[in-house]
Amino acid sequence: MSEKYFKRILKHASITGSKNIPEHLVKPFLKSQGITVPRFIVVEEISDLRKAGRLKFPVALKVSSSRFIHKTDVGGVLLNIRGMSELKRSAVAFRKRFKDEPLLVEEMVGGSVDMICGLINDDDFGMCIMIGVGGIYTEIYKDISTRVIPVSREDVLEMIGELKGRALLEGFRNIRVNRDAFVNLVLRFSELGEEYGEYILGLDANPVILNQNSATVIDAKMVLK
Amino acid sequence: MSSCWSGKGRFSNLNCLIHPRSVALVGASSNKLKIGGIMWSYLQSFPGRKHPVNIKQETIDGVKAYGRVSDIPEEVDLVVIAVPARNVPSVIDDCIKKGVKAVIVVSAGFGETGEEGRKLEDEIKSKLANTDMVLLGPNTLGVYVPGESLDTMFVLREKSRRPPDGPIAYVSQSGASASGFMDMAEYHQYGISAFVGLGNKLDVNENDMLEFFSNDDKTKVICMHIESFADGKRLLKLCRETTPRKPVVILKAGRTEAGARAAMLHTGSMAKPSQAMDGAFKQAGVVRANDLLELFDYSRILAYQKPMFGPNVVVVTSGGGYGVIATDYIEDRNVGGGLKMAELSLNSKKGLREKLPSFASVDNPIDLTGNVTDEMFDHVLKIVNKDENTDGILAFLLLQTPYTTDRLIEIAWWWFKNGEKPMVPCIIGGLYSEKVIRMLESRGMPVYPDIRRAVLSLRVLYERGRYLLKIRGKGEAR
Repeated sequence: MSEKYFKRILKHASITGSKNIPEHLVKPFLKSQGITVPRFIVVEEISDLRKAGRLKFPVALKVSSSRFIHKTDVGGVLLNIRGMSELKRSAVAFRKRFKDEPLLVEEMVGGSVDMICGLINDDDFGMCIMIGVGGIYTEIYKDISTRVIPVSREDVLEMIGELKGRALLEGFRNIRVNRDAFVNLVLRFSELGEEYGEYILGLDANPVILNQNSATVIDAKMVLK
Repeated sequence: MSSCWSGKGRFSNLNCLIHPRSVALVGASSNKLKIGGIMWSYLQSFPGRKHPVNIKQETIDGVKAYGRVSDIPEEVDLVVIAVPARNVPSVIDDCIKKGVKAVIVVSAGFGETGEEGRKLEDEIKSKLANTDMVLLGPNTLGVYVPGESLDTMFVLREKSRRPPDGPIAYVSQSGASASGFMDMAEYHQYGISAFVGLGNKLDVNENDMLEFFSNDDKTKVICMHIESFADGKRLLKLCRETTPRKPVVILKAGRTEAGARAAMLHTGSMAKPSQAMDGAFKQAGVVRANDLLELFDYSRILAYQKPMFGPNVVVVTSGGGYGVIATDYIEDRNVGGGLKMAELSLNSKKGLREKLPSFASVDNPIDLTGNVTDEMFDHVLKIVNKDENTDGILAFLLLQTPYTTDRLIEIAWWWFKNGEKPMVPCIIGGLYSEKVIRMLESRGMPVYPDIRRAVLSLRVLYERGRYLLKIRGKGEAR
């Protein structure tokens, strides 16, 4: 089933000539790999907004284009949209500002711990997997652990054990998160890296929001080789 | 001297690099002030056949010299080349024609100097493409194999001594640090099975040597100092095959962007910092060293001491101050070992009480105080070796206390060799301590003059033990 979604990714790359894959193509692919993502709709035409009736508000609106990879920096993300009319207004404004690029509308997901999970095709060792604590803070604290894929459940637990912020996954100050859901997500990423490693240069899920039930990929970037 | 393998192919030619039956030196000289003269005189200790090659001289030190390698009237396993870079390609042609198994290009002036040097390397590479002959270097000290009395290094022996025969294979991409490292090794009687200087890695690289020493029975530990990975995936595969049987310690220099640029200027290698290295090394059971001293300490302790199968350390000291510093380093995850101070069993504590003065501490760190005697020390080591909560021992040998004698050293040596638990000894002091350390090291007992180095070495013994338990499927270490 993933095959279909990955073909769309390859097709997009060959049409646009860009190695940066827009999020509205990455998310369905991740979902098809058994990775939890927020419920979403893709808006290619304003009329697609009627599908938003399926979603639970509040929602987030994001521009999804290989031309705007750092969407937050260009004001391409709007959070906490409370109702349909607000969504419509915002979507129309986004279409104008971002030259009719596709939009992604996603349910907001709450949680208590931000993590990061990524695949990096290393020049020396090939496809590697990385996890870290902190979402946007990961780069500052450099609190990460890497392994060459494939990794086993034991490997992932060892990786978590290497993080300074591991306590956040182990009930620190009564923060309850589903650690197993995150471990499973990392294992799915490892499998994905094995299967599609020959095409992928990097895949970054940041943040992955953890709560009591799940580990959800909020933002995902993929770059092809 | 072991014989050269009669087999064909690259792997058996690597054997001729380390265990040749005959050696020729191109650029041999009778002038002992020249590199070719130094190398020729050092080659005299090699018991096999040796031939000087010099286009201008008839004889070198009374031995008939040949104009070219192909003039030598018998088979030649190893040719060492020490002539200017521009003359090397024609010598290589001649070696291939002669059917030489291995060559070492000592000469510098290749890829590390720029475009012209790189062209020379490419020229040599294309010559090697259709042969099994192996080439070490260029820009290398070559090899030093104590068991074969084979020494191709031109660094002066009186300034840079050669280590004794032993269990550690040492592979380095840097000649200058290698001569310093080996001089230090000699001083501490750290024994090596072979040294191989990789130089610019035009042909033979770290993976070839790792595979070779992995299959070499004499080598118990492999330590490597490299600045670039020739093929990281192959390295990991070879390490995974090797580390269940023998430890591999790697110093990868140039791990920051700036460091990688420095490495590029040094050996001309396309070094890049890898984010994934730490994790990859862990998976493959490789012990990582950050500098030469760590490379030295870790390879040595792994060669001379048993693995530690849990994180719990007992500190035995007769100076309380040492015990406190050691405790910090043992537990500290950032600058220390990230290990645990062992909680001695009640039984052990009772046993300790029997022979220790009432004011001594029987809690860990065990402090025998200035009243320590040889017998007390022996008694403590006996008990902690049996203690069920202890995985390893850090022993301070305080030579300065009034009631201990030289027998203390014998006691430490006995327990180092025969104790159930790995023990890392630490002696801190000056001239007298230094003499004692030399004496113990000449017997094959590494002694640390520094608390942190001792603790980090215990940490490495624990890493090794944990890895062995993991791959043997015995689950997590304690």
